[in-house]
Amino acid sequence: MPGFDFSKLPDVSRIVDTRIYSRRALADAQAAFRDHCHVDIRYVGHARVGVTVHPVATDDAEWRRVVLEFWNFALDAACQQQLA
Amino acid sequence: MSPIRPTPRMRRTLRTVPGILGADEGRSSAVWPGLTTDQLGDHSVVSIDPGLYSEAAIYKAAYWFTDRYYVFLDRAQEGRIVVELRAKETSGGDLRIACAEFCNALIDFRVRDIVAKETMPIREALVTKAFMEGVPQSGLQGAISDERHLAKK
Repeated sequence: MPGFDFSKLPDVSRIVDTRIYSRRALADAQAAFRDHCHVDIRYVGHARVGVTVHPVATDDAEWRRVVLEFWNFALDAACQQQLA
Repeated sequence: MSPIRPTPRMRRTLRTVPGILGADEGRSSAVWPGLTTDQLGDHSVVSIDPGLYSEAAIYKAAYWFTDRYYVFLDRAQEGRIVVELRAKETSGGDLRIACAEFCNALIDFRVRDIVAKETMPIREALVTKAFMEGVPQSGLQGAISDERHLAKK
């Protein structure tokens, strides 16, 4: 959105366990939220990846919602894969 | 006729669930040690021993809760699974109740798993029998009426 400084809204980083959140679940969430946030995924160690979410949001409430909905989506995808 | 006696009121007591702790239990004197705040707001944390609750039960309970809460799972040291619960609305809901409900859901799904395993042979037998009834028998036995008794008369 022109004229809005997105850098004021912080990124949210987490280290996640790929035995819970598979790479496929994270990739699915990343693809589903590509219009709402930018997601960086980096390998940090055995079965651990660092995930940073940069939301494209205009206010605090929207920022929180995008970040947490991203993680809920990833968990839904992970659960469906684990329980399939 | 004897007078009807009122049912005694049940006294509800708090019970501790084995294998489930607030994440900071033993290290804090807070009323609910698992309640924490970070940049995304308040959240409560439940730490689960996967030796007591199967991973399937934990995933099912977490999946069930994503409808009403923001849920995040992580694996802590010693293999415990940490569940983070946040209200969908910043002002909504008591997270202590959410944790208690989550613990109940864990027991619920674990018991369902146990019952499903216990009753699997019976369910398989019933399904097999139901399908076998639909399979056509060889020959025409029963399909043609037997009228031999009329010929004797």
